[in-house]
This record gives sequence, C-alpha cells and structure tokens, in this order.
Amino acid sequence: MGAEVQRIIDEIKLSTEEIISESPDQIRAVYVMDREGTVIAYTTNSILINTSNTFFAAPRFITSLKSLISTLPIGNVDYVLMQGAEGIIQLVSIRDMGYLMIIGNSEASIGLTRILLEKYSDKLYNLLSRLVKVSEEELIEVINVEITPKDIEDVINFIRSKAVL
Amino acid sequence: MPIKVLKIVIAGPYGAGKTTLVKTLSEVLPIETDVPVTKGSLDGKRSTTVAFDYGKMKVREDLVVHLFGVPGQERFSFMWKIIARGMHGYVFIVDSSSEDRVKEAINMYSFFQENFPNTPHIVAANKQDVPSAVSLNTVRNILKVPYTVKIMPLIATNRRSALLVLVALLEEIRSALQVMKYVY
Repeated sequence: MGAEVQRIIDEIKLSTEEIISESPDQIRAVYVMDREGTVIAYTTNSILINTSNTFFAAPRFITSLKSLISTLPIGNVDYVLMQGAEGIIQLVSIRDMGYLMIIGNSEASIGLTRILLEKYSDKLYNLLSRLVKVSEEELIEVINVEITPKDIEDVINFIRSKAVL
Repeated sequence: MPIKVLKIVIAGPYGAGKTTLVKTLSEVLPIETDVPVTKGSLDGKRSTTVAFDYGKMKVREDLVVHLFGVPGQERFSFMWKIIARGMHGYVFIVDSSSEDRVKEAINMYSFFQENFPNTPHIVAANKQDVPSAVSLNTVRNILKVPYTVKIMPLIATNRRSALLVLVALLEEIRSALQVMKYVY
C-alpha cells in the first residue's frame, strides 16, 4: 500500500476542511465515513467545539440506520437529520460508497448544510471510489483456501521446531 | 497445488509494541519482512508504521503464514478494516505500563470487537517488565475484555515471550476451527 491510498485519504481530509471553511461560524465538525461507518477523514472546528478524537467509527449507528430503513417504506437512505440539544447532525449517503456527515450549530444552519452536503457529494464519491479501487488493488488479498486444525497444528509444531519454548 | 494462507494480524494502538513483536519473532523464526513501510517521527519513537508491517513464514510447500501489523493511529482506522479482511485471528497488543496507556487502547479494541466479533483473538499486555505495569485483570477491566478471551503477559523484546503469545493465538484459532468443524 502506500502513497496512493494515503494521498486519496489526504484529499478527503482536505475536502472536510473545505466544508468547514464554507461556514466556520456554523459548522462544528465534518466526517466522511465508508459504507460501514468507519471514519476515513474528519475535521472539527476548534473555534466552536472542544472535541477529542474519540469518534472514529460508527458501525452500529450505520447498521441500525440500515435496519431501520429496511423496515420502513422509504427506500435507501439519502438524507438524515437529527437534532440534539446542542447541535444538529445532517448525513447524506454518498451513493453506495459511504456517508458524509456534518454537525451544525443550530437550526439556522440546516439549509446551508444541506446545500454543502449536495455540493460535495460528487467529489467525495469520486474520491471514495478511487480509494476502494486502489486499496483493493494494492493490498494483498488472501485467497480463501480452507485452513484446517491440522494446518494450525503444523504451524505450532514448526514454531516449536525452530525455537525452544 | 493451491497455497493455503494463514493470515494473522497484530493490532494495537500507537506505541504498543506491534513492530517490536514482529521484529522479535523474525529474529527467531524464518520470517521474511521485506515490505516494511515506515516513516520518521518526532516524538522519540525512532520509526512508526504508516502502512503496515509485514512478515511471511513458509511452513510447508502449500502453507504460508502472513503476519500483518496495522498502523495504530486512529486516523488510519480505515486501513484497519482493509488489512484485517480475511484474517484468521489477531493479537491485540496493549501497552500495560500504566492505566493511562491501557485506556488509550479502548477505542481501537472496541473497533476490532465490533467489526470482527467472531474472529479468534488474544490480548497481549506488553511491557510487563516495567515496574509500574498494571495487572492482567486491570487490563481486562479497562478494555472490557470478555472472560472467554485470553490475556497474555508480553515483553515484546523477549523472544520466548513473543513466541508464547503467537502460539497462544494459534491455539485459539485451532480451537475455533475445531468448533466450526463440529458445528458444521
């Protein structure tokens, strides 16, 4: 792996910074996640929030979202809005590639955030598509030939033959 | 003849000792480690893994063990999943020299637990030779390691200790395969 994957991740990170810079007085944080909810890049607005780097994956959230919509007659998730006491989350699906999530300050930021979500979707779709393609090409894929308990036994014996435990 | 690949992942937060473990294992086992990708760091650590550590050990003509060390920084969490795809088991290394260092591993351990709930693994409490090291029970409590998961003491620079951890993981994988064989 290497440089190419890292370069694409850096580009995604730059996009999250650009989104914040569109409205630094209203946008608190921007996250780009893959289709399972793993954060690929994010930027927080240090002027508006004092956040630690604890949020970097939300697989349960995304799974819950998917199971919710599968039981409701609304089709795929395109857009989600959640209001909390101190901010508003708006999330869009970047087609089948992932999610873009923006945390805004207040109800006043909803319209602008919605516009930004739309504006950056295509760019992020292209970056995520490239990321998936490159990472799959560059990393060693394990060919799934079944490993048996006997194989493991052979590995353990091999290790024991090379080193005294 | 198809070649069987046993894929083992060495996971753990930044500075926990993943690279050291792979290096120590390669000193005593015939592991080829020809694809390291490292980059300098300014915080006292001489090098850090920005892609992954890689080791390959040929056991039989048709059986190869692949060792992958994942980068510990959270900003590489996207890579954890890619590297871990298809793994047979993983060692989760944690720096147990203090409670604070163990706490740094909580997020990453949760990530692996959530994304790979059925993959055999063990937790290795590294730096147990440091006088301030916390007990294995403390590690279990902080990380909320299930009681079904083994926690091993580790000194990653010590060959015997490193080997025991690897063998312990292999035994866990073997047990899991035996259970699968019995069930299916």
